[in-house]
Amino acid sequence: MNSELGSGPARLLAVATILLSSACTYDENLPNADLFGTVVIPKELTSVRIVDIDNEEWVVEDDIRAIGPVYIGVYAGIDETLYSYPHPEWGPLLGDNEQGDAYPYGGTSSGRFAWGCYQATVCKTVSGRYESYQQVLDFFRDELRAPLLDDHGDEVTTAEQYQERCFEIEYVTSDDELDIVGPIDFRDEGDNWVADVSILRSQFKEGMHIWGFADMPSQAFGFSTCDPSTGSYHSNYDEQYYTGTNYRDVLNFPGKYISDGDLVSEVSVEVTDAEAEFELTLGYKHED
Amino acid sequence: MRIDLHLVGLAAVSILAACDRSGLELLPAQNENVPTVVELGELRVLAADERPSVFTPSDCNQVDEDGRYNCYYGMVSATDGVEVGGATFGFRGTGGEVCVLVDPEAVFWNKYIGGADSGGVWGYPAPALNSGDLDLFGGLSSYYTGSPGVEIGDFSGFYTDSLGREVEIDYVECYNESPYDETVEAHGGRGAPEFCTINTSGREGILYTIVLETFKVPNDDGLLAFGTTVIDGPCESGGGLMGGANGPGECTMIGESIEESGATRACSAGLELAYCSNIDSPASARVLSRFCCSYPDMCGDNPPEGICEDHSKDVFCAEFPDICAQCD
Amino acid sequence: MLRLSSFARLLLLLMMFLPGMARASVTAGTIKGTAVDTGGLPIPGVLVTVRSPNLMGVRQSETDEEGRFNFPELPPGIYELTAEKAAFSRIVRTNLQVNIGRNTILTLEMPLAEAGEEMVIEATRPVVDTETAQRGTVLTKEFLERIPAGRSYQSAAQLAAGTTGGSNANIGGAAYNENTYMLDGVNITDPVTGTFSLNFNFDAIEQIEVLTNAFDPEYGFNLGGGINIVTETGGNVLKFVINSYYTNGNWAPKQDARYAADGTQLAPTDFDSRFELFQAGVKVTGPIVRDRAWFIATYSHERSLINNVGIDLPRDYDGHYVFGKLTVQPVAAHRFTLLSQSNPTTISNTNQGDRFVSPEAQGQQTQGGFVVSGRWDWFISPELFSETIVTLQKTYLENAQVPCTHNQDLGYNPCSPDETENTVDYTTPGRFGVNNAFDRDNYPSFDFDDRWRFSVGTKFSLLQLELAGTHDVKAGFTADMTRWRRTFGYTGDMYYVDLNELSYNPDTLRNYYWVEITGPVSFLSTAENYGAFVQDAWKPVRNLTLRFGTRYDRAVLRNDVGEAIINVGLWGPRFAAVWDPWANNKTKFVGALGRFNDSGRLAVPYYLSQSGFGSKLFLGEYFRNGNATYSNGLENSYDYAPNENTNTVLDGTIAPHSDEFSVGAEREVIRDLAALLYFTGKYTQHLYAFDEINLVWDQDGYNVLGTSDGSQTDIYRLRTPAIARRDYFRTDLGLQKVWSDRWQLQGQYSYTISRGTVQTSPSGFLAVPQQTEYYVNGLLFTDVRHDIAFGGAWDIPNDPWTTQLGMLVFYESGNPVSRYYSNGSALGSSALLRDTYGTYAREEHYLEIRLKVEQEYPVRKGKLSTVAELSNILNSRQGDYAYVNYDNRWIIASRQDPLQLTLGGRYEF
Repeated sequence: MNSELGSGPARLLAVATILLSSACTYDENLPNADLFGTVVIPKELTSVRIVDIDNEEWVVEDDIRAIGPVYIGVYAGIDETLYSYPHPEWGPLLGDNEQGDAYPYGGTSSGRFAWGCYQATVCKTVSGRYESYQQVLDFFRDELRAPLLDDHGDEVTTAEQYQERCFEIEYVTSDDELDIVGPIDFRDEGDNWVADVSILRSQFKEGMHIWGFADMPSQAFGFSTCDPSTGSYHSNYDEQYYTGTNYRDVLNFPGKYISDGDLVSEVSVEVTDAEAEFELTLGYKHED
Repeated sequence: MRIDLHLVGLAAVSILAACDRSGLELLPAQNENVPTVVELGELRVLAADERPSVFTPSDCNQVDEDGRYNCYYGMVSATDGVEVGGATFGFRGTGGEVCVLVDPEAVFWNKYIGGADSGGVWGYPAPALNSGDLDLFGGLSSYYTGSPGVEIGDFSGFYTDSLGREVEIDYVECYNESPYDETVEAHGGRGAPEFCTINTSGREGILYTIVLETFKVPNDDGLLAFGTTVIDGPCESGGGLMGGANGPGECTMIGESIEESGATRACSAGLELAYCSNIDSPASARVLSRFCCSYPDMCGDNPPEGICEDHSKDVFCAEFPDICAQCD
Repeated sequence: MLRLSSFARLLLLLMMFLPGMARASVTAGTIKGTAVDTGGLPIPGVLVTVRSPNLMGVRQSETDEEGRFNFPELPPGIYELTAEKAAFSRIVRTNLQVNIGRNTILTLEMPLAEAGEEMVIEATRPVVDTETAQRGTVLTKEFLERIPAGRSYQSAAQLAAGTTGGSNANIGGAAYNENTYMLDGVNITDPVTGTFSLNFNFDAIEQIEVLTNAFDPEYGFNLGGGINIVTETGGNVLKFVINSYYTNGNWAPKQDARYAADGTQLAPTDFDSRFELFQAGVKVTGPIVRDRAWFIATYSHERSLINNVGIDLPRDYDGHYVFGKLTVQPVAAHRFTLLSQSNPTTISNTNQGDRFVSPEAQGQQTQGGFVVSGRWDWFISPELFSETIVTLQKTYLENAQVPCTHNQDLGYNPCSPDETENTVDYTTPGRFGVNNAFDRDNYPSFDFDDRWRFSVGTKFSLLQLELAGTHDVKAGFTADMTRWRRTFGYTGDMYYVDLNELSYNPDTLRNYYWVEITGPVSFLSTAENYGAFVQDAWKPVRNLTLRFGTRYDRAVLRNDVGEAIINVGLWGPRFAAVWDPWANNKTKFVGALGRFNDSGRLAVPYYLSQSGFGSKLFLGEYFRNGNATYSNGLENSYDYAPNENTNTVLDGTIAPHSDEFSVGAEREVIRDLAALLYFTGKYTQHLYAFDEINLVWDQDGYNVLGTSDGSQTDIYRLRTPAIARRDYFRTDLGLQKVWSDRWQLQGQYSYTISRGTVQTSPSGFLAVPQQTEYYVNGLLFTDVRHDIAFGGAWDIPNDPWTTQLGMLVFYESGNPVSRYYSNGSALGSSALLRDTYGTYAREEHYLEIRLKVEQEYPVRKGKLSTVAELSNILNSRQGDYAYVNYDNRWIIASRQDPLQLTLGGRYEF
């Protein structure tokens, strides 16, 4: 008894130490993995043909501001039966679901539809494409040849005016809090635009495939994956509209949204090691 | 010692003061004689020419030589709120389209209860609390996950992808078509009939399961009565919510407000007939108004001015003897 | 001192392994010390006697060979100690304070006697307990009576360092629902929410111990702190106390809703507010049999009428608190205590957040319940004793419409002529108004919530065990069974939402939509908690105390269908060292390390309950007339949500826990006044959090790309990941002056840094990794803050009258304003604060000063006092903020109370 009591403190300390350290080794056995890699877009595929209402045509060349969101999904496998490009393996046809339904394990994007504080930017501006308000103004004026108009139809002329508007209606005090301006997603690597992407908490199975596509603008500079009737609702005096966001089934039915000029990954990346970085190249330009 | 007793008393008062309500009396009463989950067996798919213009309880609940009902009027009891109640039945695919209809208990203008535009019809429909709500689903019996008569299930199945992952997906083939603001796949509200067309092509003789899932049991008696039938051919949507000569709807099955004894609740079929008589002359709500003036218990206590002043029940019943026969 | 007898060994063995017995409690304190001669040599055989108005009889003990004496398990209060031995002067120490869970450690220096000499030392109290590492404070009756603490234990508890927030405080870096509340050794923490479960008679309180950090395993507390209330016991003198107080804040300057949520200044409004509080109480204490049976019986009534700014009907709080306790000690070895507490309360007009609520749509909350507890203390010997407590507690909480009344003086829900008084409508559907439309027809829901708890517990203490020094060993076991029955539903099983596009005119209402709901539901959820602990305070040498031990807690918490959602066994080892370098009881250095576990609340399994509602939304007239389209992201105009709970639990969840370390020092710098400095670090991880598993997020984790299964359903999975964590660091600088020379002071400054991803556990939302740096929510979120809490009391000796002054000062640097980003989608919209990490847009700081003056008048047969108290001085216009929500209604989010004056009187005889 006495000896037990004597060793008690030491034993308790040992138990305490083990218990305290055990917290560091707790493993949830989460059936998920975070995947990291890059998406590569050949510059030669990014030229965009614009046609204005007077049928005047021109090409916007090699401008990241004309690249829409890049959608990346992780799928069980890749098929080539349904479309002219490799596409995610699709599930059973049910009801009027003639497109097939793909069931991603996870996914991510590079860029999202980022409302630019004016209705004219709904479904036209994408995050990670502009470093400054001036770049937005320049792009609309010089590349799209349609200066950015405010919600009353007047041209937005200065970056200061633009910032003031954003701060006022979004109740923010810093550009960091806005999606529309910020660091550029893509870096220039010779013939390619390259962006770092991370796919967080994807379900994980060895042999799954990473596949993706970039939504490139139509001739009227519209994006087929953007739904102008959803997203945040902007309500400010007489301005009332949704600010747009991507369709929610863009990874389930990518075929519904891949349109003329969009860039698709020709070769998907098979994932065998969750730790290994992937590189996904969007090397196929889809033409209707 | 006196203080000691006082303390005991104090403790007792403390406990008594803590008495409160459990609220259990506000739950729908469960009826011990009526199950919460009912299996009706197999229903016969009525040929179009077998279909009566208006179903009544007397047309249904009779079995053919194979033990199949032509159509069915029945009821389910309330559950404790955790389990899902309802009724199930089967039918066999015809190889073509079939129309499945369910009409839950009694109150039909439920759609207008909630809106502010229920004006013009005094005290009617009956309080919303008295309406039942069954939701219609259906699909191949092989996908049905429930246990008929024991537990309501669904039509979830699993799609297994090429890596062996199972994704739960929905194999429902019967989505309500009963119109609600032209919304597809929307279930009806209280008392509203629901119907759907199932295409059984290539599945002749294959068993389908129809689920009538309890959404809301009337609070008056804890029983939810309903009528249901399966008719060969697609549901025609021309009848709108009320139904009509062709399309199924509120007026396709009447008398579904049945009591525990199995009898249609007194006068409720008369109310339905009066209401359905308006279908042919929707501009005038006079039949229903005159019915309500004749049987005010059915419609409420506060008739708007100018409706019943010149009313004569005798005149009304002479004109509509079928309606009054349901009530007198 | 006790040598280990065979009986004690047997008992020790028994208590180590005794199955099935209660939550540990600490309701008493200790006087201990050493008798020495003037040369510092111990004097054995000194007869030491302690007596107190709070102690039945007297306790006596002789000092051992080392000159030591020890009086454990003393009811808290004021004591007198005498020490006598032939040839030495008799020592008398008066005015000694015994505090809950604390040691009053004395060194009695006994000079050789000259004939008849008596040495009396009074008005000196040890201020540093050199044997405990526990952090927190003990608020004594004499202090509580003098400070303007609003006559509520929750308010008084704010004085402890590391305590912030409201009535359910954030203590020691934890969430508001992670504290433990004890009443006379009985756990009265709400088993569902983890919050306090009852309000209590302030007059009956003897002491409040607020534990913030580093406490011993015998406290079964979880991640936060402990509020430990010990009530009066009675005494040999029959006493009656009657008191009454009235507080009014109406005359204070109007409080405009000045600030919107984003900090912008709003236009002044003409909204007014109201604050009135009436409190009255009666207390009887005294003997039934002198030194054998004592009692206390108290009743308090509290009524307050408080309108938020711009609200017509006041929140009407009407509470009755009844408390009785009977203590019987037929022989010295056995003491029996029976206590009962009940607090039936109604709160009418509970909706104070909305200007547009018709009287019949106002809610009433009815709450209360009772605690009945029996306790047996068995003093086997001065060193060996046990306590056993059996408790039954019920709390109830009901919400429904305010009952109707024919008396329209106050304008509350009027009865129709044929309705009987106090009718509550459980059937008429309620109608919510948006856009300046009134809520009307009915309060839209009802909720009956009953929580029962039965607990039994035993604790054994074996003190002064000689084994390489001395040991104070304690061990105990608790079993705790909870049943939670809840019945709730919507009136009429549906509700309407109307809107008003034009004006306040109710005639312009239009139905926006209505929602039909499945019927009311009722469920029963149960839990069992078992806890055991063993601990030792080992003094290998005289000036060093090593405290170590562990708890083991086992918790099984079930959801409504009996699934054990939480089923955990938890070890909580703790270790502390307390060093008195000069062995003079004036200084201590403390280091403590420990693990604190969260065994959960029934609110956690409730997230996985199957009871619930299905709903159908139908668009109303507003839409059908074609002037609007409804978009819910589902491309239709109808919502159907079946009663399905798709939440899941990840296999292998563990319980949340904190690993805490604490170092510090206290030093009596002048007589009766100590300065203290502490540093505390607390790492809390594996908090309960729900992780959405169907969503696919976009690049920054701010926006939803889609779903994995293609459905529009959120699927939540309960997890306890390492990422669900809080890191907390606090430095306290404080002063503590015990009551002597007619004054007392207690105050501290705390500097706190906290970082976290989940504040309140269970969290309904777990941020994905990129979000975590932004995801902060609630109090004690990612923040750096400064807090000052200061209390003082001073008696002015203007004989024959006495004037008592009390003061409280609270300062908190303002809370960060949560500015959320939402992607506005019906599906998995994120709500993230996007302020840059480390910078904070703050609400205004919070400063509160309270002053109290109590004037005593000696009258025949008693004492009469008048009280005047001013609250919220210097702060009358510092509201928090109000905001305008989506439908343009003023929402008063939170607001500091206005300047208030309390006048009252007390008669004691």
